[in-house]
Amino acid sequence: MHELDAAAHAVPAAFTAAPAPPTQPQRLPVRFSGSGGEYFRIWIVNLLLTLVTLGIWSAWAKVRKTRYFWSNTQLAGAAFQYHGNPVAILRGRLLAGAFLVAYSVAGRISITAGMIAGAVLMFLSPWFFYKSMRFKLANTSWRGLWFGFDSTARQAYAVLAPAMVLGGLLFVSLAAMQRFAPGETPNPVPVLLVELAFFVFWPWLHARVKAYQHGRARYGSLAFELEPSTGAFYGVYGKAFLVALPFFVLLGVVMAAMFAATGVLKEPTAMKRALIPIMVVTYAVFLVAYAFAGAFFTARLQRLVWTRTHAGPVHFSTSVTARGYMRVWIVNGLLTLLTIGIYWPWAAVAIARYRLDCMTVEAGAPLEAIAAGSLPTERSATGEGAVDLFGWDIGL
Amino acid sequence: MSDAVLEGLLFDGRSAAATPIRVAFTGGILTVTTPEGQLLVEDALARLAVTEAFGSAPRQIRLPGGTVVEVPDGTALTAALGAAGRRPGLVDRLEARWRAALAAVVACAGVLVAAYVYGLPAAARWIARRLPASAEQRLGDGALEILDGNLLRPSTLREGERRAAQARVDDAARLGAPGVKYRLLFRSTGLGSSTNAFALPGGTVVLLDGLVRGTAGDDRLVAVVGHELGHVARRHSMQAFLMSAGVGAVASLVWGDFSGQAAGIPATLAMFDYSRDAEREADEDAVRFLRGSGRSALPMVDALCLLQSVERAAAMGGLPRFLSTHPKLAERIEHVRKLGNVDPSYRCPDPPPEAGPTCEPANDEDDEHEPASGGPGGAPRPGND
Repeated sequence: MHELDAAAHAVPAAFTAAPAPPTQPQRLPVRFSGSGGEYFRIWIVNLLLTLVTLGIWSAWAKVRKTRYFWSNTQLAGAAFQYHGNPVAILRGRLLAGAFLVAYSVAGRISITAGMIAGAVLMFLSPWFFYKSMRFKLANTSWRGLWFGFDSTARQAYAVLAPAMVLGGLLFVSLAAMQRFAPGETPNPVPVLLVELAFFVFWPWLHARVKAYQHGRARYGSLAFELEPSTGAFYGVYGKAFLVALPFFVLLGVVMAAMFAATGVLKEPTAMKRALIPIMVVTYAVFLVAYAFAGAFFTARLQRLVWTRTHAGPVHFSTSVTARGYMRVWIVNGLLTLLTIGIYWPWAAVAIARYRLDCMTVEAGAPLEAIAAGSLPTERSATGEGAVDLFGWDIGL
Repeated sequence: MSDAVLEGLLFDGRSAAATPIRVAFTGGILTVTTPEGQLLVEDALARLAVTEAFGSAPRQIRLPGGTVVEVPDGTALTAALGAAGRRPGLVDRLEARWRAALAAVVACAGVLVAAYVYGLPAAARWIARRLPASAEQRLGDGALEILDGNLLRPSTLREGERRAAQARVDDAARLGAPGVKYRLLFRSTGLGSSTNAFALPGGTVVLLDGLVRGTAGDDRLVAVVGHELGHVARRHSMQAFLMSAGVGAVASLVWGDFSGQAAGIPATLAMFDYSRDAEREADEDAVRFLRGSGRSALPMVDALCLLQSVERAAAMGGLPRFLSTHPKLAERIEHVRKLGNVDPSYRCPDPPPEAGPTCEPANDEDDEHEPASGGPGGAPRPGND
């Protein structure tokens, strides 16, 4: 089964070399071959099936859509495969849907019931997160070997414990504010202190979660690792804040000008007249700020994370830039809104193409040396369902 | 049969090593050989799992024992499999055709429109009718708790004003809506006009001070309560809750991939649209209510006129009209006028003579602020009932 030499034209050069370890790291080509038209057809057919089956097909639709993107992602001449079981995903979505209904009904029955439901949800979220990571990775393969997420629920809780403590504090401080009767002025200091703590610790928490996500990922026998990078996370957040700052200053100046122009300060009833223009301007400034600062943040964060991630001798990097993201986002956002969503499949393909075309993978040793791992498979998709429904998707 | 020979890679599932191979299908048998022709695997095609046909994307054939054959040219594999008698699945074929995709666009639009116009309202009505009254009551209590904690303030009406309003309504309801259980609550608002009333799930009707004062001593209050009892009897709040959940769920199926926030917009817009139908139904109920209690439909027209004058007073740059939950008051007035056989030459009193505070919005707002500052209007009273 190993007469490799004669087929040099059939497979990329990287893998037809003699098995002796190369001295130079080999660059593995990444290629995304999806097309907007193809994905549009898949998207619309599956959307129709989802609608006529009252949402049941959505689990199959998710699998088909994910499989389309994975099948069209080729690394070193071989495509990725997604193996998620639609029945498991449907079960996960139904369970998560029941949670969501219970949560929203509880919030309408009483404030206390809503808070209890929120606390339960917060307590379960590390478990959902962990299960979802396992489901995603344990159902992905490349070159006949499977990815995996080598962790336990206990580790997930340990990693997310500081976030839960902060979340719990926020909860308690908000609950304390709710107990004040109307008319009384609640003390805002505890809430502000907790919010300040979130602000200060957030980059650290983010770095911690990313290190966990990347550090517990496996491919066959290879273990991924993210170098310690808390300082770099603070750097990216700080710079993104500086990029966003002029927009907030601009928003303040524009608001002040509008207040002055509409005469709100002299005559409070003019507030009604100024409401709509103020809302429109605020939204517009936020969108522009998001396009700039968001693109900057996303590009810098991806570069930070991937250049510091490696799986044994396999190293990654990405050349995404804020400018590149901005171009893709603005075109996508405008066309998707103008076509009331019809353009979305082309947009999704454009984003995937940009991200993947910018990726570089270098192998410092022949891939033949990577053996199969021994992680168990993951069949339960409860976490995946929850992550989908509550919109907590934290991409790799 | 087919003699197409395809190039591919074989992965054994034990390491990431790739073995270049040739794949052929002959008489329903898959043969995997080395490029030199040495036979590696031979198996009945019917026993093997092949991944979906996604255009030209690579496809995989899973062999027993964890071995995988990947064929980079998906189109060629699809053709070869077809020649060997294995057609792609139905969904694969639909996804491959532009004509099917365009038909799906039309069908999706049809399904969405039908669900919006018929399906969701019917489903919401069906479910709302089957929910136990206690569940509705609990939702109403929860909503009241939140409203009392944020928007509503205790009423500043005198005990006598409240009793008179209660008696007038009870009197009319005994005849006009004998089967409907309700309770009246009196509140004032922290902001905005208080010439209004609203119904909560479970039959709680909240009357705001401005409305009670503005309609003291006439049947417009009865008309408004008749309207609100229409909402109660038809369980409109529950239906609105269910429909907004339904529209939200459908919107997230359609637009959720793009943006969760964008998916929330249709739900919001839909609620304004659905609420229009609910208002019209409740207006018709109000006319029936007035008739049942031995009155003409005129107070309902006048009550709507009162609302219209309040809306006009506040219209200087308030919310655009299409965002109002009580839109097109003129249309509603016209509808009630026809339904109630009110003289077509009847016009809204302009400005309404009885609508005291609503004519002078500035005064109205001053009234609202008095209780909070403990002014001469009387100390804030605890909520009654």
